[in-house]
Amino acid sequence: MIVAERKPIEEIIKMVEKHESILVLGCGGCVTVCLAGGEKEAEQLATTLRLYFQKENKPFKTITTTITRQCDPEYVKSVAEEVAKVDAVLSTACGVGVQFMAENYPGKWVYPALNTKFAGANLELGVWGERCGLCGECILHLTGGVCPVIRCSKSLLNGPCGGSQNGKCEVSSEIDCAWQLIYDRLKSLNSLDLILKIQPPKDWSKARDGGPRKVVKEEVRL
Amino acid sequence: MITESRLEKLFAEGHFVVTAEIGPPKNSNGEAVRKHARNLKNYIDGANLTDNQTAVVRLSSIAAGFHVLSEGLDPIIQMTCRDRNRIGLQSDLLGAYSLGIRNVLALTGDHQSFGNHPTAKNVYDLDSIQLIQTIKKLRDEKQFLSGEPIKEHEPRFFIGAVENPFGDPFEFRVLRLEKKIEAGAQFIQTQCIFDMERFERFMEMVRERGLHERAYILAGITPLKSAKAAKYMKNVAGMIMPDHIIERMEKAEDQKEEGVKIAVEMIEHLKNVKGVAGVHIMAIAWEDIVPVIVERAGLLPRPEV
Amino acid sequence: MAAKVLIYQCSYCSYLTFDLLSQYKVSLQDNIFLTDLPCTGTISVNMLLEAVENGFEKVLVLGGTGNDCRFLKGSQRAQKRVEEAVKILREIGYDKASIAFYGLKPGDVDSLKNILNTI
Repeated sequence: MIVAERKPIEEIIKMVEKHESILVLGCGGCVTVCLAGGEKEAEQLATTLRLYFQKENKPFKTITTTITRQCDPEYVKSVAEEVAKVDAVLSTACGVGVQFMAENYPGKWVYPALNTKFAGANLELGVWGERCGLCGECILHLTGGVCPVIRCSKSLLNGPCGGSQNGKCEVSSEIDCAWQLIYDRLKSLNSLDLILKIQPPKDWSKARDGGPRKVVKEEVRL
Repeated sequence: MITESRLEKLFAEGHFVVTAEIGPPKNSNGEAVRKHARNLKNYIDGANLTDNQTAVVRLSSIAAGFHVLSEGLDPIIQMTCRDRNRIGLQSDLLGAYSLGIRNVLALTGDHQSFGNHPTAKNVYDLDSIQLIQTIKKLRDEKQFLSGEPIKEHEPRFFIGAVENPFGDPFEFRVLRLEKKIEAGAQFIQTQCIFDMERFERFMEMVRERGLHERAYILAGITPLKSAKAAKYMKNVAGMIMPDHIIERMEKAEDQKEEGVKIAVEMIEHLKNVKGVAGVHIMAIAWEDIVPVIVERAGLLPRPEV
Repeated sequence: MAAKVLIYQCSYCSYLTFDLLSQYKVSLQDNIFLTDLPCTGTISVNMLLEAVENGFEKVLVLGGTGNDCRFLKGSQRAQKRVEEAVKILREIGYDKASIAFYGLKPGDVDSLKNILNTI
């Protein structure tokens, strides 16, 4: 899923303070699962903002609603009535949702309430970790299911740098060395030969470096 | 002999090679580099210029290499993968060669979080092994990385790489060294050695795979300036600092002298380790001590080519 | 006028204590509103903030102590959410209200009386 976290409240206040009414729009997708921008978080954010403006004696109204996903047109279009009632929209979706709302509602400000962090997994209650670099050309079959592109701090494709020690990355003892993980896993799978071969330079044109990407699935297009 | 490098010639002739590191200044004063080069000229066979080491902005390694060359000393320029993509790296290789630089050392590069611009974006378009391949491709295949031919004046570098016998996974270190040699590395510079026992185990594995016959290995030496420096290094990623060295430094009346003594003893020992083709002295911010160490380790005079 | 106080209490951990309170002939003042929760772990940060928005100047959550929570970690969860709500009030500079959590052993009337005295 896409993992996000709420922006500092002061930053959000600065975005919305010129408006008197906003729609706080939650998203039922990834950000609900990572507890950043679902129904609960959207309501909490709306209350927080109302409290702040109450304290400042400024008129400020909120409508709060949450849609299934902010990255699909049918759901995004379903809030047209609510959007029409307010000065601006504060989206608690990831960056995709914010943009998709903006695209669908020209002439209306749509603000991001979250910082979108990464594509990751739930490691334990309240902890998420990055797992995919969205590079466009998966090599996990060569590295035993551990991605060096995103989990090695330097995206090295041919083994660990000199800073790998005791299984940890030189950047921080909080970060596991991806290459230690790859080595251990391939060793246990009896497949170390995979990383003895030199991996050629990566084709970054398949990643964002080739410009913004699009995926088309012809068989479902009408 | 594949290249015009003086360093390659010395290795090929079987000399016990001595190189030293010069850290370029954090300003645009080329004279600082030239001064070091003049001081070291008669004591070492080549000077290694760091490339924004620990991700701190410094005078560029190529420009520093040019200053060293102007003083008649053979420069080895470091090139890290952190700050340039394949376009920038190849362009700088052409530029460095055009200035008369003949040796290059390819490295991954310290992560930018260690340096003075921790909010920088890193590049790592290539890793060090792919960079080695690229330098070799420019030279041996007369092609850019993309496969486009270089019609004339291809850069013909003597290619170096680094390996850290003190990093993990330990068993993979020698295999990674082999990958580097496979990619085209002709000489290898190791991380500075304090844990001689681990280094010897590493060299044993190197010899088992015959790697010492496929590349010249320079053992890394760092003279300790103080017990405090030794303790600090204990916490540097990728270093092993045994307690007995810290204790020895702490007990010493003259810590600088003790640091020199340890370095000299290590060099004496390394001369007899099979597969070690020379030493690389990294006297961090203490370049002036290099001649003293070289002399006391009995490495003078340096050979003429 | 006395400040409005809202107390969220756990039906298991502190209900009994409040019950005992009446036997000690202590009655709650009119400004204190008591709400039962089946477990304080069901409380949300938003409930706490909304209470403040609706004019309560003190919002107390009375759960159990570390080891005697009927739902194992309910009180711990409640405590964390109170901490989060307190943090939000601090972040927006809202100092007219306070939110606090208290862990009480069932039947600990003395502690309850102390808490009520501080209101």
